[in-house]
Amino acid sequence: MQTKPKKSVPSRFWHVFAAPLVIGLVSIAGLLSALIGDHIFDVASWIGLGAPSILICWYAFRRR
Amino acid sequence: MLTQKTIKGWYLVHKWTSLVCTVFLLMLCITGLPLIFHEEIDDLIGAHPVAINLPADTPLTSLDNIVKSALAARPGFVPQFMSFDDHGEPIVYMGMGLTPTSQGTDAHFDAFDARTAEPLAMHPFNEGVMYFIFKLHVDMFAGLPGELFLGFMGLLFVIAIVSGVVIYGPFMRKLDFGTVRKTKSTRIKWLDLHNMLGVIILAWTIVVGFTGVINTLAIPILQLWQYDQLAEMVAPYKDKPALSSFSSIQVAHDVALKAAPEMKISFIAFPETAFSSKHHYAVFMEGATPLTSKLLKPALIDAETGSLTDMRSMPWYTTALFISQPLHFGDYGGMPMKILWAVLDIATIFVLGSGLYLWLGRRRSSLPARLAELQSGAAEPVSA
Repeated sequence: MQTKPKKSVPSRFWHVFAAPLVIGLVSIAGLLSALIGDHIFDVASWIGLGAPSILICWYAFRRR
Repeated sequence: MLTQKTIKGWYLVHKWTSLVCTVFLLMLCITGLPLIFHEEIDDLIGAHPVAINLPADTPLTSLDNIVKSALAARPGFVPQFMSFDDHGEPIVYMGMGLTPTSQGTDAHFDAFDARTAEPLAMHPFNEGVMYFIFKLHVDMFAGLPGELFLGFMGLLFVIAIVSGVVIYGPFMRKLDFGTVRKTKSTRIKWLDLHNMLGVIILAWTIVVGFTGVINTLAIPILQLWQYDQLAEMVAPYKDKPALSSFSSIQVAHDVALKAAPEMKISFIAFPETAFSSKHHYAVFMEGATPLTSKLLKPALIDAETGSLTDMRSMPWYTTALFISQPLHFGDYGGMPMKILWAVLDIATIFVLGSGLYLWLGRRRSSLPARLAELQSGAAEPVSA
């Protein structure tokens, strides 16, 4: 336990929250996109909301 | 850095808000699943009226003929609302009531062909399995108190999500993002799944949860608008006597459309309903883009002279309500969006279910043991 050097607070924060923040921003872009326009904006929505859907399948079913 | 004490505080907030709202949230997620597809289900069971098969260039009849036809079809009833088909079908819907403000079993919704004014067969919307699911989801058959209660549960859900994110921090300190340890113990597997699923669908659950809360306030929000902006718009007519007959609704329709030619008409409220005045038709206009189609702009038409008396954009609080509706329903991005909405809804069910499982499976473990589990990322098994 004591062998590892202590990480600084900001780097520990980003270690935990960088990925959730990126996924959150992508999801919100997806939620808003289809509200603003049609066609290409709809497709952007499917990608933005598809990303978390694919990630949960990936992390739930991968072997490790 | 969070201190021991604050971690314990946030853990207890997460535990108690979750415990109170989980059963209701499970009900909402399960009933919400078929509601995502209510249009497709309605089509499948033939709940939508079908327009008569006529040549495509058949002209539309006057809307006044449709009102006559609606009155003939329901003797003793008065017209409350007229609305138009969302998908551009030549169908006009009439809301009819025993009085202009009747609701529930004293009000009906009828469909008419827009070219012949003939009544069209239509399943009553307030019957059947889908209506049961809808009522359960909206107010659990308890009216406004039921709606507000579910709104409060939604608020607890949002607090549970926020506190969950806070305690996700110390738990994940020594773990990689998305870690799911499947071989250690069932509890650790479900704890990891709970964290992984919860944090990935975070933005969606907060948005759908919070917009759901706003939707539960629909009735008070619209009442506020009636006492605020609508009252102000009709103030000059306050002391005028009620009309014995109304001017043409077709004229009201055309006058409103001329005043805002870039807009479409969503619905028209007849005089004496809660959405108009004793002296006015209120023609609710909507924009043409996905966003502006949710923002209504009422045009008030004098029901004696048929002239436009006022037209204003609605205030910020109704705008908030109208934008919350699509963001809660997921009906603004075609079928792929509905499917993704369903996937994320099912993921939410897993987060709720795993949370409940973790609480039920806490058994002999003490609060300090669970806090240690949380802070070590479950490196040491709980209740050893």
